[in-house]
Amino acid sequence: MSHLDRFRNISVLGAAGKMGSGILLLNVLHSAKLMHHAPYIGETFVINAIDQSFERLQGLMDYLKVQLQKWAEKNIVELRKLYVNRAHLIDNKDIIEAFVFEALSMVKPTINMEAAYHSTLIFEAIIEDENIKAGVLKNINDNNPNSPYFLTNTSAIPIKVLNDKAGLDGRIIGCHFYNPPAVQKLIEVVELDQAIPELAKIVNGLAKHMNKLIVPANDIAGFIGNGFFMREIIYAVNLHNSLLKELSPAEALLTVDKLSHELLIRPMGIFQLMGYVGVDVCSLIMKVMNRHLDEELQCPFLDDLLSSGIKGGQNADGTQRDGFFKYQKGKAVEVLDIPSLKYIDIKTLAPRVDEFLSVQTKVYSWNQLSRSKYKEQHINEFFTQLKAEKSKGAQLAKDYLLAMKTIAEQLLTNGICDSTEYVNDVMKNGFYYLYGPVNNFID
Amino acid sequence: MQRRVFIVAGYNTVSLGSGRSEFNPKKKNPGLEHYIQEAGRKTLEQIKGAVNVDESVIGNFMASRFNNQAHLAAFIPSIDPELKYKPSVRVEGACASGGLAVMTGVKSILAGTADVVLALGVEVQNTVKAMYGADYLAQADFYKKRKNGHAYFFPGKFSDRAGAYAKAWGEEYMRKGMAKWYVNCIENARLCETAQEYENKNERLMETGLLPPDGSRFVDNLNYTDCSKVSDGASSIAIVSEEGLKRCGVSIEDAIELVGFAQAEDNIMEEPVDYLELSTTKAAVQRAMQMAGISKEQLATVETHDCFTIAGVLATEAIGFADKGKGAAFVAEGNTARNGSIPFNTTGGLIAWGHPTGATGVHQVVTIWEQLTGKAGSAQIEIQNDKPYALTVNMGGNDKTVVSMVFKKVIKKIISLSQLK
Repeated sequence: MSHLDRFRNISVLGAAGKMGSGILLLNVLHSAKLMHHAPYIGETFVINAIDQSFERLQGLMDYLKVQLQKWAEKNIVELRKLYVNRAHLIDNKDIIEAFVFEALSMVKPTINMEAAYHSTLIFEAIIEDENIKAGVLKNINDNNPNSPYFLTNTSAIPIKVLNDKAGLDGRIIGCHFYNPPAVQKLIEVVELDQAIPELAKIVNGLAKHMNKLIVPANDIAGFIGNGFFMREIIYAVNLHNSLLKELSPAEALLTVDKLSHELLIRPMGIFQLMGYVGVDVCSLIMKVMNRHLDEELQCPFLDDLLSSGIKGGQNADGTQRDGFFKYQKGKAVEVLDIPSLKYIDIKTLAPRVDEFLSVQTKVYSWNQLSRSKYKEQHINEFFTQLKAEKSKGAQLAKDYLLAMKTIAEQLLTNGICDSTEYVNDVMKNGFYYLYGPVNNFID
Repeated sequence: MQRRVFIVAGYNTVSLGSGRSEFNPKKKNPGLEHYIQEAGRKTLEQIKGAVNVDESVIGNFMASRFNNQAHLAAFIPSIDPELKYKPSVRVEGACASGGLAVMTGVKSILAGTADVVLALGVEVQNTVKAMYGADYLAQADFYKKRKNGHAYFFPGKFSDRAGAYAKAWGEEYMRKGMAKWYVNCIENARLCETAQEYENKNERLMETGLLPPDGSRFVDNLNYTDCSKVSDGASSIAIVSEEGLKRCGVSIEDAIELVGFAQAEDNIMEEPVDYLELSTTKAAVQRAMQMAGISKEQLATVETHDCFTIAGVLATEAIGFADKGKGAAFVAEGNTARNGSIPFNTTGGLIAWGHPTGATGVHQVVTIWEQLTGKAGSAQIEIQNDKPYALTVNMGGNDKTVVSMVFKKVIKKIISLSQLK
């Protein structure tokens, strides 16, 4: 069986979830094009979309239809070439409709895990719990006669753990997409030590087709993305705690967020990012990593918040749930006062926070710079000026930058990656930072 | 001509579409009837009401698909109850529908069956996304060629012409001419409040115009800036005889005179004889100029059908301002700019005023009427008495239906004392 043959029967587990739906869409696009090329013309393609409820699967099919239509409209020039031999499909509309229909026809939504027993390629994107994941994978592997390959979207669990627990004989690879998978360019790929080369070939081929960037990480819990992110959370929480001597809890939270957002020129602050990912998800990942690492990696702050009912994350429609912040039209407008669990208008706190930071250097917004041709030059100028500044804000920003560099370098020292360039790649492509943590801005 | 024919009372609605701040493709935009009524009523106001109108003509290309609406002639009475039961006809010749509407009105005047004709053109295209609109517009060519055509069919056709031009005369040479055409159009549109690019604030127009095309996203030899806009709009005008002029109470200084016109048709089933030449345009222009009995040196301005910048360049050759292959240089040197030797498309043309397809031929005539009567506002160019003529070229499809007209500024004769003696 060639590696492309394996795409003829795929299952996506957790297909209606945030990550699963994107991974499914990418696969549908891949297969819908593959079926127009020899030797697959006229062959049957099956993509099982497996999830837990009919309601979620219905929502998934609606999402898929809209996304496929948009993709087809945007890529009509390419599609006309694919359909050149179909004489009766003449107008763009005919071709777009045919493409969407044929692509959707491959997708078999189901709540029955048994569908995966026929697949040759299985994408797993279910809950980040090693026992649940391993149980599902084992069940499929035990009942599937095709010796399927498994691509797991875990962002933290060592691949070896899943392989051993599920008894997969090495037929598994870590293929960590970033949210949302259809848009984010990055895939973090984690191979087992004794990897089957064909697995990487499949991921590479898929990534190339999807125009994704692959960054290799070694099989150590958390890999590069969460390896960095979780350690940054601990740094940010400690910083927040230390500021409580000078500031109120809400002010301290806003200060650290503002610092990591505006003074580090990032798309959002660290607490906003934690809210975006979900406090529960962050806590879960931290625990998974802590279990598999020698290093002590704990953050009671997250657990306290969770037990107070502060969860963050997103609603089904993609809007942000209340977490560290309350949002209006996608913008944070109120900040959480942790002791009282009440939200305070950011506008009333901002003057005190600005006074505390008292930064003089002109700040660029991430939005502004991300579109600029001269962003590197501006970033350099900004940090050069900040370096010369004596304000509290400038000092905290410099400390923060240095701490991030240290975290990145530790990922290399601890064998999680083979180059700090990979850390920079992950943070730039997976977290949309304009520059990597390993830099010389304030050396 | 057996009767004198005058053009009066022009009006253009806004050309609505991307570029206009009031345009939002996600919201419900005004429909066909809105544009027909607005344009029609504004012309009627200038000719003392619908009571003076003998008949109407409406030009439209593709309402049947863009708006699921046919039978447009029956919208004319919605402009004014006085038009109820009067003759009204809809004409279609792809993007030359507007030109055909004016010409049809002219023929009624010449035939003596009417003294006042209301001529209107309309198109509302922003009802669908561009890739579906491309399907509808592709019907301006032979449908049997659609399958092998580009997704963006007409940009594909004119990209082929640009490709041939680049091959014959040089790509960079051609690009400079096309970029300058784009710059001229935007600069002119900034002077005309109804233009789609009126609010264009790009400070580096030439840089934009010179960008290399990307065939993997669009077509091989054209950028988006080489293409006319997707537009909603209507234009209207009244065509009158001398009697009609009196009946409408319009002063002769507010009129222009039609002195030559021609329409040429080529076989839609055939490919162009020569990709480097707009041969149908050439034939129509020659006949119109011949009928007017003038030479190109007597023209003060031209409104040509620049559905693509390359069509503008090729038009300078077809009209005879430049030899074959020299049009790109003629344009690049600034000859067609508003301060050049022969200003073209003084309110932005199809590239920047907009291209509500069925309205374009009428819009061209309205622009000429404004320029020759001094009503063009900020976009006004100087019209010298020794060059009182202006030309329009309205093209349907890939140079298949062409309407060309020559107009003359009305100069009041001053009778000298010596003549009185």
